[in-house]
Amino acid sequence: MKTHLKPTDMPAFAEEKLPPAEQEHWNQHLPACPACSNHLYTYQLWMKKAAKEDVPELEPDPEVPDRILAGKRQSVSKPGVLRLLIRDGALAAAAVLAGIVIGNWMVEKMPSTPGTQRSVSSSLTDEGTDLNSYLESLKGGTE
Amino acid sequence: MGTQTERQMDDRERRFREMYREYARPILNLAYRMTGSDAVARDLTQDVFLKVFESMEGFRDESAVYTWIYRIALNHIQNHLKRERQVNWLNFFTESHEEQSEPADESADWKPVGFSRPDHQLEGKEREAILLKKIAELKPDYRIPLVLNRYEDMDYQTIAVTLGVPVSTIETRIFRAKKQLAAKLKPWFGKL
Repeated sequence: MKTHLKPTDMPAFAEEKLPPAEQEHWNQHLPACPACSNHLYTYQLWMKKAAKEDVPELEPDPEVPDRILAGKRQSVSKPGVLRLLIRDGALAAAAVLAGIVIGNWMVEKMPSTPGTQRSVSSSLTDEGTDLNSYLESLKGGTE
Repeated sequence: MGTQTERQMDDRERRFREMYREYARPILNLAYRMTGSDAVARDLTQDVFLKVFESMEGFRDESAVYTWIYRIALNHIQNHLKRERQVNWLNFFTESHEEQSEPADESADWKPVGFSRPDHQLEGKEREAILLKKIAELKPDYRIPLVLNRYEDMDYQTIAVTLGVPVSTIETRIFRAKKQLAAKLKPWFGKL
């Protein structure tokens, strides 16, 4: 058997969870050993419920709610701006895409025979600019 | 005269401020006893109340406000301690190494020092401060039930329900926590 009660055995001894023979041994030993009884007393003093006034208490920061609310207001307004930007950007992109599609469609619909070129292209502009002739002249220039 | 949305927002903010006034102190001190750090406890409390504000719209049962906030706080603190534990694993060979295992058999160097003189006595406040520091060194699984039992006046059954584990697990964890604390407090055993 050990000479003195180990600190790690104190909880088991105090709660009577040691094997019966060992529990009995320390029961006999403690009254005769001032050191062990002092340590056991000290252990129990540490473990007992603390007096209210001995427990350190912290004071909460009074400005925390303001900080949280200010942060929330900012985060609420930010996605709003973002949403607007995304929405407007999407509208602009859709308009550009529609323009390209319509433009392509109209070019495809233009008759390719020279006899009809004038009337179709004239209808495209108020000034009666002959766009196809202009394009043809460019083509001719490059050849 | 504000719009209905503005009035709802004002009402929500007012209720939030009331909740903070009433419950910030117990939540802050719960976090403090779990972490042992004033600064960390304040950060955690702020996080908890941010979560409270974000989820208070869906919360209706006004009679159970504290239980609701307490649960949010406990979850958040537990998650923090788990993350902290993961970081500590990276520093395995530093101080946290001692916490990973049960204290070794110390009978070899365990020499009782006899009755102490009165000038060595620790005051209750000082003793509690040391104990808090030592509790903060325990691993979260042991620390959390011990703090709930010692400082929050919860019995084993309530702790088991709160943490969602069997009562026998709580008993074992608290017992092991005490065992490790006893080993950590050994240097003070002759100073009372």
